[in-house]
This record gives sequence, C-alpha cells and structure tokens, in this order.
Amino acid sequence: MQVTTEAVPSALSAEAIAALPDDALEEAYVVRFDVHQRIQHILLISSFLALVVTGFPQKFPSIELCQWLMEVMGGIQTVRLVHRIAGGIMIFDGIYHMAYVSFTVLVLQRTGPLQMIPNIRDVKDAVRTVQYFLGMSLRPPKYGRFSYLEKFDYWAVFWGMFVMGGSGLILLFPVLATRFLPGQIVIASFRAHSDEALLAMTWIAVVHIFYAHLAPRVFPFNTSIFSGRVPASRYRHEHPLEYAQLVESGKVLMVPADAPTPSGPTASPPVVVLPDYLQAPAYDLPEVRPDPGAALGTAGADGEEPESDA
Amino acid sequence: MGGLALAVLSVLARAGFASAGRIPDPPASAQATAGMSDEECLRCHSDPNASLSLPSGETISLYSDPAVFRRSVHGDKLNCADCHVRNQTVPHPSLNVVTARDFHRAEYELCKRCHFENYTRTLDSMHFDVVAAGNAYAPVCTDCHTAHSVMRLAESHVQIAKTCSQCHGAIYDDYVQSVHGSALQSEGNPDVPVCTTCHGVHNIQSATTAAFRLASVDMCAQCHASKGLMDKYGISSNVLKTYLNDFHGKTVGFYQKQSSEVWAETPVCFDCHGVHNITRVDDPNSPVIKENLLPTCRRCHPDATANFPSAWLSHYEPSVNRAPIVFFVREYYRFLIPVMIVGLIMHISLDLWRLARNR
Repeated sequence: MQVTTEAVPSALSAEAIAALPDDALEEAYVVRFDVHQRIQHILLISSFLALVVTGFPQKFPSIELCQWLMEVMGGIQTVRLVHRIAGGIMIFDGIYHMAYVSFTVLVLQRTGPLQMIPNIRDVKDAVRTVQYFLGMSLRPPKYGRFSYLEKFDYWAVFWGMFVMGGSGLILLFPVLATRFLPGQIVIASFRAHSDEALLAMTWIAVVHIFYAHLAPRVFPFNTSIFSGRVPASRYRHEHPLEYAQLVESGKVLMVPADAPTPSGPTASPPVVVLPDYLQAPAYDLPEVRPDPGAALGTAGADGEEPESDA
Repeated sequence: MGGLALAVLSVLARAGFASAGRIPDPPASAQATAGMSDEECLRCHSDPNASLSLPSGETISLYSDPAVFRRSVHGDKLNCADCHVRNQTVPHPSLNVVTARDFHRAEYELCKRCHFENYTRTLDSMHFDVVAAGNAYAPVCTDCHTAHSVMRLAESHVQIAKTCSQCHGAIYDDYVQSVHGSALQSEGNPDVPVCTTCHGVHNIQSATTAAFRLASVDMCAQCHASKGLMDKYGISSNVLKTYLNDFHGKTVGFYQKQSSEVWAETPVCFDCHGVHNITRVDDPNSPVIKENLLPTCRRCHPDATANFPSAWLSHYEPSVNRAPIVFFVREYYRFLIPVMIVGLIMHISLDLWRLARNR
C-alpha cells in the first residue's frame, strides 16, 4: 500500500497496540470502506428507499396507507415512473459495484473482495454463534473481515439485485423478453419481482436495520458506511481476526487525532488513530506514493486486502 | 285542430313513461276532468284520418286507438285528459311548433308530471347531452316507451334490445350474433345482459368516457364473478380475480382507486373479448381463443412474437401443468419468505437473549 510502516514509525509495537484496552481506543478508528464503497452504498440506499416507497403501494393497493401514498405521489403513472428511474439507478449501482470489484481483483490483482466468498468456515461460524447464543460455548467465534452474517447480507442483496433488476426489466420490456424467452417468464417475473421485493424489504427492515443500527453495540446509528470508519474499540471485537492481522502486519498506522487524515482515493491502509494521551509521537503524515489504483480510487483505502501487500 | 293534436300526443307522451315501479295516483287536476271525458275526445280522435299539418309541411296523425291505449300499462289508470291537461277546452289552445319533432319534444314533458324521478335521470343521460348539443332526434320518453301503447319494458328483455335497435341498429346486429344476444334471441334467456343491463336505463352514460371504461370491469363482474350464475353455465367465476391479479388488471385497479380521471390504456374485459359482438371463448372466431390471441395482443403490442401471448394465463391460476415456471416461482417464495422471516427473527432474538444473559 501507499504507506509503509518503515516510513511511519509506530509509537507502539504491534503487541502493545493489540494489548490496548477498549478505553484507550475510544477515538481510534479503522478505515473499513473506501470512497467507492461508500458511494455505492449511498446509491443503494437512496434507490432502495425510492423503490420501496413506490413499490410497496403497488404490491398492497388495498392498504389505506398505500392508497394515500399513491395519491400523494401523484397516482400510479408518476409512481411507476419514479420506480423505474430508481430501478435504473440501482442497476447502475450494481454495474458500478461489479466493475469496481472486477477492477480491484483482475487489474489491481488484489484479493480483498474475494474474502466475501463464503466458505466452510462461515458455516462453522454460524453454528458456533448459535451455540454461543444458546449458552453451549463461552465465546462467540472470531470473525475475519466479513462475518457469516455480513456475507449473507451481501449475497442476499447481490442475488436480490439480479432477481429484481432482471425481473423488473422483463416486466418493463415484455415484448422484447418474449422474443427469446417463453411467455411464462413474464408472469414468473411479476411474481418474483413482487415476492423478492417483500423478502428484500423484510431483510433490510429486520436484519440490516437491527445489526447495523439497533443492536446494542452500535445503537442508535452506525455511521461507518458513510464515513468509512469504524471505531477501533468496536472493530477489534467485531472483526478480531482481521484486526489482529492488521496490527500484526504493521498496517495499523498510529497518527495523532488532530492530524489531517487521509481520505478518498489516497487513503492510507487501515488506520488506527490513537488519541494524544497515549503519547503517540507527533509527526507529519508521510508522502503518499502514487498508486496504480488511485485512478479508480480502490487503492486499499478500505483496507479490504490487507494481505495483498503484506 | 292543433290543440287536439296536442291532446292526443300528450296522452302518448304521458303514457310513454311506464318503467317507474309505482305509478302515482293521477294528479288532482286530472281527477277533476269534468270538462272533458274520453268519449268527448274520441268524438274527433277516433277518426283514423284525423291529422294536423304543421308549418314544416309535415302531417301528424291525430288518431288514437282507444283499444290500444286500454291494453297499455296506463289503460286502467288514466284517461285522455289526465295527461293532456292543456287540451280540456275545444277548440284546443293553439300550438307553437314548426316541425313534428318539435311537437313530440314539447309533448313528452307531460310524462314528468308523474314520472319525475326518471325524467330527471334522463337529464343526466348522454341522450340529453346530445339534445343539449342541438340534436333534436336524441330520444325522449315517448321515443322508447311510445305514447299510448306503453308496456312494462323491464318485463321483456327482448323488447328492450329491440327498442334500442330503433336507433342503434348496427350495434343491435352485432349484439344478436353475440353469445349474449343469441341466447336472448333464441331462448329468451333471462340471465344474459341486454342493452340496459350494461348501459343503464334512464341516466345512460356515454360508453366512451374514461370513467365508463374503468367501471366496465366491475360491470362485467356483476355477472361473471357471480359463482351461482356462472356455475349454471359452466363458466369460471374467477375471471375478475385473475384479471385484477395480472398486470393489466392491477393497473386498472389503481386507476379505479385514483381520484384523478385517467384514460386507461390498459385493456379491460371488452378490449380482448369484444364489446357487443362478444363470443364464447371457445368459438373459433373468438379474439381470445389461443389461435387468435396473438393478433389480439398485437393490437396493443405491435411487435409481439409467438411467445408473447403465453405471458397471459388466460384467467387461469398457475399450476404445475399450466404454468410450471410461474408455479414454482410462487412456491419457492411461499416457502422462502416465512422460513427467512422466522429464521431472522430467531437469530436476532437469540442474540438479544445472550446479550441479556451476559449482563
């Protein structure tokens, strides 16, 4: 990555950082999402909300609130127009994400995004988590960069985007679709679009909102997807394996809290900013070397591929 | 002489309005017709040659067959003078009309003295709109009901259709060929709709408005969603439900709920099945039979290809045999949604429970 540990001597050794108590890490953070991921998420939220607001009244027209919504938004024609525009934004967002991931993996040769691929460990983690919930083990399993639940969340949305985007396009262009596909596919799409939407909405309303916002650890609002940063005191518990790896590989960069922090495409590797009272030595942020990924802005700003240059 | 004519036609007009269920007692003025008895009227009006020339050059007959009148619905209730109140004196007051049509349009107003409710309904009808737009030949009471030989139209479906056919001949010709009209013609089937079943009676509305179009779905459903009636003929009564669950029906359902009036481009029943010429769905000429469906779809989807019509399940519920893809997609979500929701809620509950226990 662009910042080397040699160039920036850490105030504390890896062992010392790992041993810090949560209190000491109160103002420290780990950069988890780069600017592209944050933009992708903002596009996703806004298009998703617009799609729900314009889609829900279409699915449940007999609910009074839906009729009111429909009326307030200017009737079915306007609602459908907004729905289609929002759908277009979401499809664009999906393509953007795929391009981003492909570029990162294939061109920049970084394996970080591949960590999202589920493996047998996730199944074990899920089982062990439930065992922990049930009191059958004392501690929850240690998660890496993505816990099994986060992977599930990601792939649920990923799959949902395909189903919703695909069925939505078929419904929008039924004549074109039936040139290549059996006519039934249009009705199946109608069904799938409607039901998958319900599933997506339930998922977001229950799981995502709970784990991202309502869970006691993060209540009332987890800002990390907007700021890109997660407090280190939380990160070390949520992603202990990754955190340990970051500390171990010396990628945890300690800078004073008041130092200008890198952001955007030139962001440093995962950064822990330690507060002043830990007597971190005062120093300037190092020069940032031009990075091949800087153009796309994927240059590990999110620390997604800690092992890629380790 | 003109006054006499007026008298006769007033009876015609008065008599013409029979379909309001209860006929009120003759008005007080009518009961006190000491001045003019039927015999007195018939002294002139029983002459088959009695006629009146109008300034337009037209001649109208002043003859009234008392036997015909007595057989009419008013026959045992009214006398000439009950309706023709103006003409109680001889000679009758002079007329101020130019054409025969002017005369009829003036005289039909007599009906409202008893049938006020139906009279006001006609003022809301599209026939009256045509009158208001300047067409003198749009029907008034007596055109449909006749003046002196009024019968209860509601009791004769065949007669209703024939009455409308006097002006709407081309539509009638279509109708009698249709599944509905032919059943009426051949067997006098009382279940099939006649003109007034769909179009209403006195306050007949235009059938080309956005409102009529949207309401037409429920109009057809009055019979076609009625299980008892449809079972009688072995027809599905699910057609409205399946229509409303499909794309076309969904959209129409939204338009129906909307406060602003929209012209629904989306097809309603009669766009596919036909209007007055509607046929059985297994008739080889039916626009909705499988062989004819593609051209029907192409009326709105001009580029549709052979696969396209099967994007519509012909009012069937999806099943393994009839639409396996749709069926399995539906079953997949039927299974997945509850399983997911229960699973997620359990995961969250366990998480919270553990958290509470750890405190």
